[in-house]
Amino acid sequence: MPLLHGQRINSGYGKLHILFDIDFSVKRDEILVIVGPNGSGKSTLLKTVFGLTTLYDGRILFDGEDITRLKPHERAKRGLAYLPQVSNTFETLTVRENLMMAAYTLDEDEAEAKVREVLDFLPRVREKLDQRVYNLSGGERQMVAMAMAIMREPKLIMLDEPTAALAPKIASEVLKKIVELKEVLGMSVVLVEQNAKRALEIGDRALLLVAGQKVFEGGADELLNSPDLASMYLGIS
Amino acid sequence: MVPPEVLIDALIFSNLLSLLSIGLTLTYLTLKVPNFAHGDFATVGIYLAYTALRLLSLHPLFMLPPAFVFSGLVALFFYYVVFKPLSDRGANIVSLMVASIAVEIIMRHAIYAYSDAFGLMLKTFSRGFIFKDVYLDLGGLRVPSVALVSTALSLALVVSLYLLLTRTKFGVAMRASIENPDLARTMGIDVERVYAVSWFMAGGLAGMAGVLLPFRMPGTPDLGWELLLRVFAATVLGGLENIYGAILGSYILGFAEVVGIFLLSGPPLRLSTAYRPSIAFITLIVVLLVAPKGITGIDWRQLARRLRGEGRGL
Repeated sequence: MPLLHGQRINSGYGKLHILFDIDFSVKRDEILVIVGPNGSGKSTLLKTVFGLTTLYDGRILFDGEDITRLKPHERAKRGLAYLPQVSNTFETLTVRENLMMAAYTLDEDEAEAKVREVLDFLPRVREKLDQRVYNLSGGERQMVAMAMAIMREPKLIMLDEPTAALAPKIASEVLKKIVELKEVLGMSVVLVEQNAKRALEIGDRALLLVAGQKVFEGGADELLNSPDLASMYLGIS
Repeated sequence: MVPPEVLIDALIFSNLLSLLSIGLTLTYLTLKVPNFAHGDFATVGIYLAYTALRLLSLHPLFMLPPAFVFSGLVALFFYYVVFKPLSDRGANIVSLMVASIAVEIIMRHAIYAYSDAFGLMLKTFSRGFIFKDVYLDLGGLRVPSVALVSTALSLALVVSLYLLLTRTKFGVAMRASIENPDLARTMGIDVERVYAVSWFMAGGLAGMAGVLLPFRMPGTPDLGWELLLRVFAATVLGGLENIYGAILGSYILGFAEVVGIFLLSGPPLRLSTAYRPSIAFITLIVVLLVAPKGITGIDWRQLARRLRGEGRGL
């Protein structure tokens, strides 16, 4: 049974219909990469799974439970984490305070233990604990955002373009950490990326969206090596 | 030379302004509403203290805690009945502001009605009253008790606010909810509860300021409304989105107004004291021309670079 299963998803913003009849699934311990041209609905799909859009039709099953009607914070409590592309940290708070907020629902001892654990996983964040987020670089902010997302030990973490606007070296570092989320922490990952080639190289499976419709779902290698799809929609030749 | 009595007067006025402006900033930070009814939360405190004085012969200072609770509840009532439903329906800043003006008019006229009924029932005057203050002799200087109480209250408030906002989980959650409510919700923070507490605190602080106001100026149903523009000025002067800025703005404005009119009403200008409120607004305009985002919005490092002639255009 897949960890996440989206069935016939039709969603958008108010009356603006963006996604049409999307069926997809995410298995346990895998990285699903969602790729597609600009405006194809990649970010909207993540938001829909987290309950931040208008769902016209369809169902979302998570870990065997129908979460279609749950509010975002209820989905978060069930082990779903969503890391938006922007505004994914509290900029005026220090890194330590951000982590404290990520552990808001945990008791004090539990939260402290969790912070230690997360800092072991992301040592770069430890060095910045008492700095305000607005003083950090783009890469450091992404690391803090990732630390916040994994604080609550989600079963599935959805990342929306975590390497956008990052220098190539920092972007590689972020992608390496994403692989470790699966391999070290045992989380499933859904990754939306503009740089399709880079993302498909670390993904297990891929979902290609074009104009709000599913064009492909299958192995990441398969998509990467499909000359038609890769060159037509992803600019990979 | 400014006599110490004038400086004490300025200190009291600034303390009262700061109690009011902190609350106004809190409500602005939550729903982004410039709340025109905020001054009336103070007027509720004025009449609560006056009622207790007349009916129970209780000294007004004993009414500080009850005024905090009662005015806080009034603010909470309007938050739940008017402002939150409007905000949930996507009302913009103009709609919220107009709604706050409506609430202000309703509250002010309700207080008028209460004050008239109260005056008729007890056959006493219910407008223009002054609370009698006790003066203490401190090294030859006569200091009114309200100066000590309002200063202690303001200091305690600054320290407790700082501790609340930086050392407690709830306080940090307040800052987080104010900065990014959507993200805060995904963390499991009950943003609505945080906002409700902010409104309660805002109303409560205004209520306490209200108890102290008639020690210095005649208590009337429109005293809160009359002070409101100066509270707005202090808040904007400090930087609209910063609580500590509101406190700073209050002291700059309070001292500018009281000391300014003392100096201008003497020789050689001999201006009428009726010009007193205009000093606050002149100060506001001058500061905003230099620092459009208020004092806390100034980038001090950039300013220092410019003063050293390192910046662009210099």
